Parts: sequence; structure tokens; C-alpha cells
Amino acid sequence: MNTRLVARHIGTVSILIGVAMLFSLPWAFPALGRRTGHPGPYFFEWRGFTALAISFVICLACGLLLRLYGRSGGHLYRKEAMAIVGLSWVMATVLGALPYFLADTYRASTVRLMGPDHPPLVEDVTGYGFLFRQHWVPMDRLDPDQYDLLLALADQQAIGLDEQALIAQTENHLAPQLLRDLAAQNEHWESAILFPNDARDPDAPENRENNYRIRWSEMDVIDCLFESQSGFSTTGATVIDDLEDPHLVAHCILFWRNSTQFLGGLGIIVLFVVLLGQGSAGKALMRTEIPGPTKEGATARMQHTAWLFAGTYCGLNVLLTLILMLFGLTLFDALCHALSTLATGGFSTWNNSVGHFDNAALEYVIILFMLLGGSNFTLLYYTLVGQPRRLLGSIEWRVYISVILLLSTAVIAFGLAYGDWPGLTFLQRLSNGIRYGLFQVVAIITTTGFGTDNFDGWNSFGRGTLFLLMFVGGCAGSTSGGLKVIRHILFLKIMKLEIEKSFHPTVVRPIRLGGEAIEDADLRKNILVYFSLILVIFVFSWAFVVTVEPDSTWGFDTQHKLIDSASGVAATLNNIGPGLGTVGAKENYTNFSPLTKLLFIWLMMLGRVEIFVIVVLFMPSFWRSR
Amino acid sequence: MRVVILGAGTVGTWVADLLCQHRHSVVVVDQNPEHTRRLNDELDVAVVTGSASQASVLFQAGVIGSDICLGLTGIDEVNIIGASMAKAMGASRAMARVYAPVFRDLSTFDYQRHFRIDRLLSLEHLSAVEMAHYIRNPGSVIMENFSRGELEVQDVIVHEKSHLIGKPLKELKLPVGVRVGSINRGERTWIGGAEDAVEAGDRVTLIGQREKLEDLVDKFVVKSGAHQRVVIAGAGETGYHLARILESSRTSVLLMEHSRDRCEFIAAHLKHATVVHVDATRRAVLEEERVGAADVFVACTGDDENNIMAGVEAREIGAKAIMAVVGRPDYAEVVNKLGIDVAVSPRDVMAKQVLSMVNPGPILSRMALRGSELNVIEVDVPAGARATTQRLAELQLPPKCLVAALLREDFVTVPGPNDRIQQGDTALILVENSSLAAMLEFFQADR
Repeated sequence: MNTRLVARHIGTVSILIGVAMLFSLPWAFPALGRRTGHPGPYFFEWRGFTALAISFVICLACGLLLRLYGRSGGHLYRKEAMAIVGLSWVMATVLGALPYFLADTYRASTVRLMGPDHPPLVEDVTGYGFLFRQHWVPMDRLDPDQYDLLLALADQQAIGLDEQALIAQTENHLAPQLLRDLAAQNEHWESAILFPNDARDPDAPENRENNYRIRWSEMDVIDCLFESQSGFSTTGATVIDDLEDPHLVAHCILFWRNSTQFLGGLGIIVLFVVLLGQGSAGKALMRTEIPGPTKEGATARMQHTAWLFAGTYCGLNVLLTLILMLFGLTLFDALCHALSTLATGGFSTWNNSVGHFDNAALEYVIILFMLLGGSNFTLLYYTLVGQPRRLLGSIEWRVYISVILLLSTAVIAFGLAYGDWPGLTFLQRLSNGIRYGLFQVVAIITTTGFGTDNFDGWNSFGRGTLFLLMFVGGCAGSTSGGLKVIRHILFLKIMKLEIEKSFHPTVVRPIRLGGEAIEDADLRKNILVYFSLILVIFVFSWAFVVTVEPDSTWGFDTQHKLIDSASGVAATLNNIGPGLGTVGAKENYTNFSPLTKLLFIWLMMLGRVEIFVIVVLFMPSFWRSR
Repeated sequence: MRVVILGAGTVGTWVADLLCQHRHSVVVVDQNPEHTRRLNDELDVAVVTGSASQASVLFQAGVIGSDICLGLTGIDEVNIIGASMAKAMGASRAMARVYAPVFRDLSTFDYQRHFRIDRLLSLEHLSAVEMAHYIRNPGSVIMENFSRGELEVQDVIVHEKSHLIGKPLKELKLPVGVRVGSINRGERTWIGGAEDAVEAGDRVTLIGQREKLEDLVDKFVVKSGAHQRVVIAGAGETGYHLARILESSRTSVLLMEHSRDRCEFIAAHLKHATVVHVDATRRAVLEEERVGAADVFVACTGDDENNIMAGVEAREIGAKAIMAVVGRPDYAEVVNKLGIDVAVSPRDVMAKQVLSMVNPGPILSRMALRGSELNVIEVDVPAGARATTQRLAELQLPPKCLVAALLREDFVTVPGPNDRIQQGDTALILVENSSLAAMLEFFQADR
């Protein structure tokens, strides 16, 4: 292993990531970091700004040190290429987590009210240690007064209520005293409730320093890594409960969050090759990086291929941004959503994701661009230059579209039969069904993971279909995750051939795709190995989550633990984002224990680079020079 | 006629012998001194030792001013280059034998036109065509390509359910570029006129552009549900070509081949045929692959004895019809007695082709329609020929003669009565033997 060469390249990658952070800086200014129809407050986000600036300096220092140690000599062989790609993803995750960490980003409330009849859960402050702490502690059941009081506070998210408002809202003049009593009960409550001018929170913003509040917990290292990995792997799973409060999450940090998806969708290495070329080394890197079973370039020069990919990708981003701005979105919202749509990531700037805008036309536009994000970008490029037949004739794309049409029809039909969508007349229900059903099917199959409707409320068929769709993914050569449609096609064909072989062993038959025989002799093995690996990883990760994650994460209702865990594993491994139940459309990953989050980080990374590139980093023989 | 043959292998030797017997003067070129020496001893031919792709060697062989040059070495590229050079150096005609089907595939590149060779000939393909004709008769078979592959002649038997029965030809709205040539009913064959109507069971010869012909053939031959099962033993070039011809229709093809690599190659290139990796000369294998249920068994393993034995075995097991490629002329007598229905000899096929090329006058090629007096003839139109003087309607061509198509600057047209033949055209003419000489007079160069 030529470690110095590897160091030099990942040093460059580190600098690239640092430079990418600079693009998030302007959004700290209130003139730019402005959302559609959000009252504010708007202010210069010095915390986010300095965090990004410091992160940039760290990336730069890191990169320069690595380049100082490294050297440019030597040929880039397969091993080095894999090491560079694998390490660059690991490094991106770590460096990408810095802004969240340095900007003191808050993720979620420390109190979870589970309804008036169940004891609330409060974040544990004692703990058994960093990774293995019991995350949520059930308290005693609340009496109705206490419950109403906490509900009123929880409704205000992290802002809270001042004394008058608190009394007015609860119609209980003893409310402040009740809170003090609660806080005196035990150390968990004490830590969870903040009082006006609380000494424990000296930096409280002006609009809430005089308020009674529920404390929100800051993102710890693992949360930051999770968010960063979720961005770079274009997953879109989040641990942040409230995206709309700039005191909790700054606009510039939100922008960084979405730009990690842009980078992840493009591929850090693709960016590297786009900018630097690197000749045959670039080719070796790209082959390792590009997802999908076939790695044929569109042009003879790899840098040119990378250019086409990046150009198409950026062009579509710009186009979608402009279209979204026509819908009345601010530049910030339009750009952020464009970045995460074409990267098939799924980070939004609103808690209710795309559903926030509640605009059917806008949703159809997003559907279209999610579809494009899940298509092969080389073929999209040919379509743009006037050869649409190459895309329309592609077997993979046809199957991809057919699967979407077929399954969304089925999902809509079942949803209508079960009355999942509101509407007075059948026509209304149908149009709602098409709008929400199609959106969700496309959002899941392209591994974007946006939400417009709470699909957790759908019937079992719809939910089951969405769950299975997580394993489909988009086309090879796209920004989507999952297994990719082409692998499923090849898998079915291989199965058919294997079954024929069992009763007719002498037959010789190649795998055909669109009539053309595929010459690659290792393809059968590769496809089968990949399917088995995904299955094995899925099953064992599921077992791991079920074992490690305490039941208290689910509160009183633990009967969905199995399916929720499975969907969480599937949604992270396939880079979707939301799953079912506790990780469903209106929920997120914030309640999981750190150890489980760590597993999810690992799964997201495996899913993005298609397993091998990361796994080899843990093989001692990979690093041995022989 | 003066003939130059490039290559003194089995085929070259045999063609040289054949042409000697027909009293042509033959020069044979071969790189191997032993071959040339042997040939010099055995046959009444002149020999030149040297590479067929060298201009000096071709010059020495007297290509300049020769009537025909045949590229018959074992290497496709040498044949093509040699024939192309000979043509450029002044041979009136040039023909090259090729093995690889890619040289005859016009979809990507027209080798024949590019190298200005009058005919690219694949013995294996011709044998396969011959066998396919037996297998698919009745039915349509691509009989031959003319005008460098732009034109095809197909022979179809009109199906009783065809919609075209009973209507005069002029009402059929035939696509532009396609023409009904001859109609054969019972013992009689004639050139189809505008008033003629086809009947079920007629054998009709169609001439026209390749793509358009396909559509028309479908209208005459209603696809029946009858499914033929053909087993081909040996996936050499002959077997491969045969499978290719057959697989486009309702025929299930099973190819047996004992070389793994060849199996994979064939399997990759044939979309519908099933390829199995077995030794077709073993009886157990034939039984296991259910040769007994086959409608036709074709043995073309590349070895006469194996072909005959496999054919006899297949007959024993119960295959309905047996065909075999048998090269050695001395076996030809016994194969029928052994129960082999059709034995195809590549040499006979070759002989037909070569002799049709070795014609004096403007005829480029000539094909006799099966079971009739009619010929399809391809002729060059020289400067000052009588045919160019008037429009077709006024030309007073002899009876039983039809100008079916014209190739002009690489573009094929089916001429109407108001069209005129021009100098430099290649004309495809359907003519009865009795009118041939009279017809050819129209195409004699002005002396």
C-alpha cells in the first residue's frame, strides 16, 4: 500500500470539502438565509458562521498536513484507489460533522410526552456511559394538570412560555409552582426543565430567556456524525426534531446539511476527478466510486465522463431551483430542496418536508425531478443533447418506470379501498391518492425520502410496498441508493438461468439485456454476492438493533419494535431516510441510542459505496504491503 | 476465360480442377511452395508462389486483364484484400470467400462495396441456406442477395389463409421497391403480370429491397402455429448460419457443440436458439437432448464420418428428417441408403456459385429458379447498350423477360414502364432460358 500517495489524494479531498463549506457561509446573513413565509427571527448567525469558518480551517489544515506527508509519485493501483475512495468517505463524514458540532446545534426535546395515559419519557442524565446509556427514562405518570402544563410547553418547541402566557394557556395560576415541584422530583426532571433567566443556560436568545422551557439536547458527536453521514450518503435520515427554529439550527448549518447531499449525490471522488482529472488514476477512482454493476464510461476520457455527469447534475439542480422559485419559494428554500431532490437525499428545511408547502403542482414537479435523479445521468445527458431514444430504449429505465407506475397504481388502489386519503367525493379522494401515493412511491424508490403525507397511517399493503421498495432503488449511474433496478433485472435473469440449469445442466446461455449478451463472466457471481451481502447485512443489523436498542425508545408501545427496527435498517442501508413507525414519515432517528445511531452511520456508508470499498478498510491484509 | 485463384487449399485446388475441366485457363497463387508444386504436378494450371496480398505477386499471376479473380485462401482478410487489389489492378470480376459472418453483415458496414468486390461468398452460409431451404420448404427462404445485398430474392409458397389470394397483382398495393417476379403453379412457371392473381399453394418469387420484402412475405405466408423443432449437431460456421436463418421464424433450434468457448460465443450471438455443451456423436447425448422428438436433425460437425454416424443414430432414435453435410464426393452415393434424407456438399454449392460467375458477357451473376426455366440475372449496363436508348415501355424487350430492379449509385429502384435504364446501372432481370440470349443483346456494349 502506497500510503503516501493515498494521503496526498485524501488530503486534496479534505481541502475540497473545506472549500465546499465556504459556500454555506453567505447563508448566515439574514438577507440570504430566509425562508418562504417564515416570520423569523432573522439575525446574523455568528455561531453558525464561525463554526463553518473554523471547520474550513480544520479541513484546510488537515488537507495540507496530509499533502505534506504524501507525495505524488507512484502508480495508483486498485488497492490505492479503493483506499482513497473508502477513506475519503470516512473523512468526509468526520469533517462534515464539524459544523454541526461547533455551531451548538440542538436536535430534540429532552421530554417525550406519550399521551395523558402513559408515563412521559425524559432523557437520562445519569447514564451508564457514553454508548451504552439507557437513553430514555420513564417517569411517574403525570396528573392531568401536569400533563396539560407540559403539553403547552412542548407545543412551543424550544421557545417556551413566559409566566403570564403559561398561566393563560393552562388556565392554572399555580402552573409555575407545579413546574418547580416537578423539577424537584428527581434529577431527570430537574435537568429537563429550564426556568426564566436560568443560570444553566446563559446563552439563551432574547425571545426565550424569560421563558419556562423544556430543555433541548445538543447534538453530541455521534449525532453530528449521523447527520453528516446521512447527508453525504444522500440518505436524508435526520436526528434534528425542529428545523424551523434558527436558534436551534442556523440557516447556514441547514444549507451545509443540504450541500452535503449535493456532494454525496455527485460523489466526492467524481468532483475530485471533475476538477483535477488525474488521468488513469482518475479512471481507477471513478470505477471504484460509481455505483451499479456496470461501469462503462460514456466517453473515452474519464474526466470528460465526470464532466458530463457533473454538468448534467448541476444543470438539473439549477433548473429545479428556478422552477421552485417560480412557485414562490425563497432562494434558500428553492436551492436547498433542489440540492436534496436531485441528490435523491431528502433533507428538507421544514419539519413537514415537502408537505409543508402543500402545493400539488410543486409536488408533481418534485416527483418529476426525483425520477430524473433516479435515472442514469449519462442517458439523461444524451436525452438533453437530442438522443432521447437511448434513455427510452434502456431496459433498466423502462423497468424502473414500469415498477413505479405499477406499484403506485396498486398503492393508490389499496389506499382508496381503505380510505387512507380524505376527500368528500371519490374524485377528491382519487386526486389526493394520486398526489400522495405517487409522491411517496417515487420518493421511496428513488431513495429520496421526502414526505408529503403521513404514510405511517396508510394500510398495511401500502406500508409493506414502501418497505419493499426501499430495496429496489433507482438506476445505475444515478444518485440514488438501494440495490439498483439493473441488479434486480439481472438477478431475475440469473435465477431463471439457474433453474433451467438444474434440469438441463449442459445448456450454455448468456445473460441478455435488451437482446445483447453480457460478456462479463463474473457478473453472475457479483450480482449474487451483492444480493447475499445486502441480505446478510440487513438481517444481522436488524438483529443488532432489536438487541441493543432499549425498549424505552418506543415508550409504552413496544409491539412495533421489530418492524420499526427493520425499516430503520432498510432505510439507512438503502439510503432512503424515513422508515416506518418510530422512524416514520413524521418521526426521525433522534430517539435511538448512540450505539444504534453508530450502526446506522455504518449502514449508510456501506449503502452509499456499495459495501466493498468500506469493508476492505477493515481487512488487515488490505493494508499490508506485499 | 482467364481465371486467377488465390489459395491452393482444398477448395482452391478443387475449384481449379473444376475450372480446368471447363477449359478455362487458370493461374493459382499460394504462399506454400509445396502446395504450388503439387498443384503444378496434378493439374493443367499455372502456379505462382507468393502472398496473395502482394501486388507484385498478383501482377505476376496476370491479374491484369484476367476475367475473374477468386480469393479462396483460408484467411478472410487475405481473400478480401487480394480480391480487392485484383479488381483495382484490372480483373473484370473479383470474388472472395469469407468465413466470418461479420463481413456479410450489411447493417454496420458494407465490406463488399467498400472493397469493390463483386461477391463475398461464404460456403458455410450457402450450405446453410441450402439446408434451410429444405427444412423450411414450404415457406420463405432468403434465396440470394443481389446488388451487393441491397436486393433480395425470396421464394414463398402462398398460404391458403393469405388475404392476397384471388386479387390481380395490380390491386395488391405492393410496397414501392418490391415486385412479384415469377409465379409457379403446378407444372407451369411464368413471370407475373399485372392481371395475374395468386392462388393458395402457388410458389411466388418476390424481388425487392430487404426490409420491405420482409413485410410482404408475411402477407403471403400466414404464420402458422406449426412449430418445428430442429436439432443441429455441431456449431461450426454452417451450424451457426443455419441456426441464424432458422431462428427468425417459428422454429425452435437446439445447437450441440463440444467446445466450451464456441458454445459461449454462439450462445451470445444467437438470441433464441438453445446451445448445449455436449458431444453430439454420443448416442446417450442424443437421447438425453430428445433428438427423437426433433422434426429435423442436421449433422454439420465438420467431419464427414461423424456427421453420417450422428445422422444414422438420430434416425435410429426417431428424428423425422435427417440432414448432413457430407463433403467427400465418394460418400454421396451411400448416404441415402443409410437413411440420411439430404446430404449437402459444400463443394457442389461452391461449384454452382463459381460456374455462375464464370460467364462471358455482362452477366454478374445468374441464379436459376428452382424447378423452372426462369433465371434471375444480374447484369452491368455498359456504355451505349441498346437498353439505355429508350424507356422501358418502348424498349421491346423479348417476351418472358422482366426488369425487376435497378441499382443506380447504390440506390435500388423497381422501375416502372416510364423509367429508363442508364449506363452504369446494375439491372436485375427475370428471364426465361429461351429469351436469355435475345435479352442479353440489349446489354451488349456498343462496339
